[in-house]
Amino acid sequence: MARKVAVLLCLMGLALLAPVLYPNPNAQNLLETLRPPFQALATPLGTDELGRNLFALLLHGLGTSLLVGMVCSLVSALIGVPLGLLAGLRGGWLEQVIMRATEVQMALPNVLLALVSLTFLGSGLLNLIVVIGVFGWAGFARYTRATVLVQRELEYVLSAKALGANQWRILRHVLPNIGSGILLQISLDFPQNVLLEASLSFLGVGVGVDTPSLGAMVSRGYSYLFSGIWWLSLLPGALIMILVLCITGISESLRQQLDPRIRQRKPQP
Amino acid sequence: MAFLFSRVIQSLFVLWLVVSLTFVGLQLTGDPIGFLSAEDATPLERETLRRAYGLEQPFFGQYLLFLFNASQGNLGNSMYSARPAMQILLERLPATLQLVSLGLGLALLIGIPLGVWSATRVGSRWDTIILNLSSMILSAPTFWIGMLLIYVFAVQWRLLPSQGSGTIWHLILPSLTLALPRAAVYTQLLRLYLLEVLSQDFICTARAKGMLERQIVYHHALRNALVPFVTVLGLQFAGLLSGAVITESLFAYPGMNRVALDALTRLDTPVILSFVLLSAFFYASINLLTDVAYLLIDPRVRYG
Repeated sequence: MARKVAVLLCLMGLALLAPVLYPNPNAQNLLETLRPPFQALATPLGTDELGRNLFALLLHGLGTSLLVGMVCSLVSALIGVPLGLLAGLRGGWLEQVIMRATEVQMALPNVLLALVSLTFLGSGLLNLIVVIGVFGWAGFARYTRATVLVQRELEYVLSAKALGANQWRILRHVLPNIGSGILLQISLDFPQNVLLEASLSFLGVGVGVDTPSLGAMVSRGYSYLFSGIWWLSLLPGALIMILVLCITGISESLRQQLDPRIRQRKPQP
Repeated sequence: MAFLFSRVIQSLFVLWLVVSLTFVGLQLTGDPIGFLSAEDATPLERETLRRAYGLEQPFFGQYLLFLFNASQGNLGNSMYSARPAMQILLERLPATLQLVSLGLGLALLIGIPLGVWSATRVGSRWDTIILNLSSMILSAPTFWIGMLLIYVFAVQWRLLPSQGSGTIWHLILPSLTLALPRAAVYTQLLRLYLLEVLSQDFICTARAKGMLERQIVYHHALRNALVPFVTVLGLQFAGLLSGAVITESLFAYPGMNRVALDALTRLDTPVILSFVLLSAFFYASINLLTDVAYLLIDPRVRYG
């Protein structure tokens, strides 16, 4: 856990420093094209087909991944959580409509939906964030409703009701109790969005040409893979993996801390 | 029976919603006559075209027509080859089915033994290695796994073909690419389920009877732990039929997903819509089938 936090903080720091360290990652150097990694100090991870510094490109792409992943999860939560609360606290036909809607949303693979929407909307950073964010609402709505259903039956809600509290007052009591769970859901959703962004950029409908993206780098480097030039495609992919691995690992540990059932489960002899 | 009926109605409802939403989405993209007709079409030609597609009708009439056509699987002809869009997709379905079933089969072949191995040795070095490996695979983007396989097996060792289809050799790398992340999921899930089952009372009873540990694990525990797998497998099968886009495009595999991806890059709307509908249809029907399968597999499950 501590190691993963350290790596993630390092990656975040590097992504934040990228504009300072390498103000122009697209600077070409046509004399130094396709240089393999670990050969020169100035370009520690080699150069691409236009002689651009792969390390600089990676750092800038990392920033995009982090930004997209984080913002998309927040957008999904902002849409999904209120709807889940509404479904859980109100119940009735509203709950039915919202729950059926989550089923429809889940009946279609997210990649497919995002792919189709981005093709018609046009790619770009903002469109990508909106599309991934909006299509991610269902998970949050279902999670929130499920936890609210549990909370609704607990004594503190019943006593609040007995004291004549209205819906808003009950909501004010329930929210702090489900807050940590929702934050956890956001942290679990975050790496999935990083992967989704990478996939969409790989398929060519991602953040667009002018925004650096790890997925797009892999896609561009793919054609060089067959001539044995591995670093252009495999290194950005490895960076995505490390990033996702760290975030997932951290949120899994958090979940174990928060969930007493998992914490108590002792390994069998 | 009542349960089955209500589940069928529910699936149809979900399908209806998907169709309606695509219809609304289509309406939002604007008047199709604009790009269906030639640049210099006369108003009369436009009107004829409008009538040919039933677009002169009011909104609700168009909606009913769309609903009727969609229920027949008829969403018009492809804009590029003038053949029914659904047919173009369905003729590539067998190739995708082949790839996906091989991929899932491989995933089970890898995932189940590793899951059992890991669960019966909780906390050991092997358990840690398997868990870490599977988390790594799950964190990697699909295309990266595919490329790694291509680089090692096709570029470095020149053992397997990396593009196209035709022989059994062509299927290995793409199906392995599909299989590895699923195998990782199965390993982790099975490990959890097995641990859960192994801590139950009937296992304790079996141990007390003096049964062999091997028999307990394989005969008693594994059977119970595999039950929840039916859902996972079913949903993944449905999801992969229209979710193997990356794998099929990476390996230039002539399946349904690649046709859909080509249609997307050319904005071939009828094909795209058919693909969306088809994928919702697969999901709804396989979801229904898994629910029914539970009735048969698990005697404890009684619906409604």
